[in-house]
Amino acid sequence: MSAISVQNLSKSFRIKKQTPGFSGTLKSFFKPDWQDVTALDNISFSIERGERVAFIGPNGAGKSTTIKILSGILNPSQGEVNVAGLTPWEERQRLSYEIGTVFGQRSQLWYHLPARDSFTLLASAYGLDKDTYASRLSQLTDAFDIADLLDKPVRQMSLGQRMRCEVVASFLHKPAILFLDEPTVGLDVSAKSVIRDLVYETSIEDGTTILLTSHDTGDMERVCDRVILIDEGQIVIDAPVSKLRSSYISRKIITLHMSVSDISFEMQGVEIAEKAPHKMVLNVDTSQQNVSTVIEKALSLASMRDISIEDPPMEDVLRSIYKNGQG
Amino acid sequence: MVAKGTLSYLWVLLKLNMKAALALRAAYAVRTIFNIGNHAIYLFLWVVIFKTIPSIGGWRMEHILIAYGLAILTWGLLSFFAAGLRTLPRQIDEGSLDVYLTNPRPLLMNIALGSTQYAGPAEIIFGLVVLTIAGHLTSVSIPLLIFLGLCAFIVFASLVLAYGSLGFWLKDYHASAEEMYFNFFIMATRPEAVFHNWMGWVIVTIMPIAFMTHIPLRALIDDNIYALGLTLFGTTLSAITAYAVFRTGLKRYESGNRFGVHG
Amino acid sequence: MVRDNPQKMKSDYLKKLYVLYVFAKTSFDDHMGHRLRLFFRFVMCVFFMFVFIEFWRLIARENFIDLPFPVDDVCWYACLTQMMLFLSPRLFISIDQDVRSGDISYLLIRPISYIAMRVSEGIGAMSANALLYYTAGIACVGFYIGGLPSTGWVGLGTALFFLYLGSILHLMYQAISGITALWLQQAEAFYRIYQKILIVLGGLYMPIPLYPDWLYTLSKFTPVYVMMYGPAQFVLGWDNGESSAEILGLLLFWFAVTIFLLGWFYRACVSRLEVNGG
Repeated sequence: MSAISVQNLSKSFRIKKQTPGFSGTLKSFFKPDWQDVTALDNISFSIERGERVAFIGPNGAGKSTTIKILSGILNPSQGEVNVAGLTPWEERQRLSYEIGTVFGQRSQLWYHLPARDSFTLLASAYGLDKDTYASRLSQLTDAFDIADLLDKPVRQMSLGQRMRCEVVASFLHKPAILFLDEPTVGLDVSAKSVIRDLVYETSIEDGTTILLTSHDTGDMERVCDRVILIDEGQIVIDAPVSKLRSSYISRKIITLHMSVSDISFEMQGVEIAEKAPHKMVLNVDTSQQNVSTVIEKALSLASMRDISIEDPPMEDVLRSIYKNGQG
Repeated sequence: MVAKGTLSYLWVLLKLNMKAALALRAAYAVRTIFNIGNHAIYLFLWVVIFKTIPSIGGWRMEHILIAYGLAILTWGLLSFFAAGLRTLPRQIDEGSLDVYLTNPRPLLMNIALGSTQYAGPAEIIFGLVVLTIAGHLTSVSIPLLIFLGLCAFIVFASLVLAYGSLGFWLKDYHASAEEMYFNFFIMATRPEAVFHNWMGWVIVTIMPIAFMTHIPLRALIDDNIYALGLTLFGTTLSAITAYAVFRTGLKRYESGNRFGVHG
Repeated sequence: MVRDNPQKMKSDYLKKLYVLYVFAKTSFDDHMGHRLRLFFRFVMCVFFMFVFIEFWRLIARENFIDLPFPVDDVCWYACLTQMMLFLSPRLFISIDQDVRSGDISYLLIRPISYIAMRVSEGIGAMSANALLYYTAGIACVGFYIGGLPSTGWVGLGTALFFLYLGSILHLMYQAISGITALWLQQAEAFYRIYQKILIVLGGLYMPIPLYPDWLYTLSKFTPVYVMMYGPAQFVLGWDNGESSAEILGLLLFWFAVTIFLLGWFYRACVSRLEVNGG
């Protein structure tokens, strides 16, 4: 049985339209304009136990809405959802033992108290007995390296430290499924990578099913094996992360380190992305030009100290997917 | 088993609330002095008023002291046991309910005690002092007073819950809500006779402050058994109604219309 | 030469004033946009005003004291003072939130004074309230009392005009209350004290000439005098009232003092944040 299954899920909201200007203010005061907005439009997917799935897409795509429906916070307008064998919004309390949630912008830790107090509270909420709690906490404390943070008031922690504690708080009751909504938002590069690695490792160890939403493609690449790309309430792509590049990229980045300071390079399907003395970065459209042909030509023009061939960053891949989707 | 788990969870919550209040001792102490000062000024106003006007609708200083003592006690109890109810509109605006909705323990318990901001022991004590000054402390009236104090607390908590739940519909409502709570408190300390005609109905229906002070006062001073029954009835009804308003609001929260599309 | 150019200084000044106007206007629109909230609060205010009317009618009926003014006038007076409390938004709460969330450190570095910005927003929201309270509110009160105060439209108009100015002063004291959150972790404690002083010395419950003499005199020396009693007394039909020139003079005096105080608090606030590093 799959951990999560979603069938024909739809969700729409009703929002008030604001009109500019004083007369607009007065007009909408007496007669507001309501507008229906579709956040999710008939989406279906299923996630197996232990799978790690990234939910990505631009702002307002419907990522958070989906996660809120799956964790029982929101009711859908239509469709069937099954999480850990339960219908989230109907069996919220039973579901709460099965899932953990991390909302990047909302804390479950008490601001003025040490993190340990919040953990104790959560242990009591989930009815963990003393021994189970103690061993679980020490296991997570080691894994997340928060021994020094346990007795420090949360308000004195950096955002990265706080987020590590937030994730520990969510893992405490060993949930079968963990939802992470923008877990790395606002963190610096090193804090981001720490969180990603820890989530990844712990989920492997516990066999946790992960569903995370993010703006940051790094989260998806480092933590997840599958990606669901959503835009305007619809699933655009549902594929393994590794396949995303090969199927959707028709570009390679070639960096040339030349022994001469400059060469003039012109070729169909090749763009010069960056140029500096002894260095040139080429953006190759592989549907028009073979990579080996490009390198041969470069070698014929000058001798090279070094040549590297890379895939474009994931950000660019997604951008091109959005563009094609819209076009 | 579940009930026992919830009770022990409640206990941990209360301990944590105390701890958080103590973590900010200095600020808390200053605030306590300010709060007591604030209540004292208000009482002083009534002293001045009763110097000018000997009796208002049959109420004398003694009535005001009991009404005010009950009201302060209530405010203190609310601050201590259910401070989060007061910040409900803000919790709704900030989406804090999301976290509680994925927690296995009762939602309302988490809302009421899940975020500390105020602490009320000083106000509870001050309320008791005012009640003592008012007199009427006999072997019969002390248990009665405790009972009426609890009823007043439930009525006020219900009022705060019901009016705070309007935050499910009204955005940025936190400041206005606080203003309402304050005014309910003030209204509850006004002489009962002020609320005549249709106003008498208002204070036992949509704004049931009469069950906080006016009717309990009759039970206490006039030994009116009927008033005691009425207090109990009003308290129960207030609590049920407030909970219903809250559930209705929660439906709206769950529908997501409260926020619209966030992504 | 260029720096001292009066033309340029004048235009800088106007530019800042314009920015403040934009803040006020935005807040006005925002306030009008929340019409349910606006109405709900209005209905509550009207109810509380009616309670005041009944309060004074009861006192007049029982006839324990001789009121130096007609009872309808005292009812009008009490309604206006109650309305004054509802007219301005609870500005101290927004400032309190800025302090607690730490947003204040970002807002302080803007070219426009943070406090001036918040006070302007307060004025915007207050104007939206005034639009409703000065029309529908006054109509409700007039209807319930059954007529104008004995000073007529002139007295009422003067009262409303000064109440508006007094409310701006009130906003400034709210701003000061809000800033105390930097020291007390919570603005409410200080605000409540200030509010009680406003209620007692401003004369919310009864016109202050009814107070004992010493209290009356004390009130006259506080800014709350021109926020509440000063403006509202124009509906009291009696000879001992203050003239509008006197109230205006007092208002200007307190504006000057308060703006100075605000400036001082603002600087204390900035230096406190520098010490804490935000």
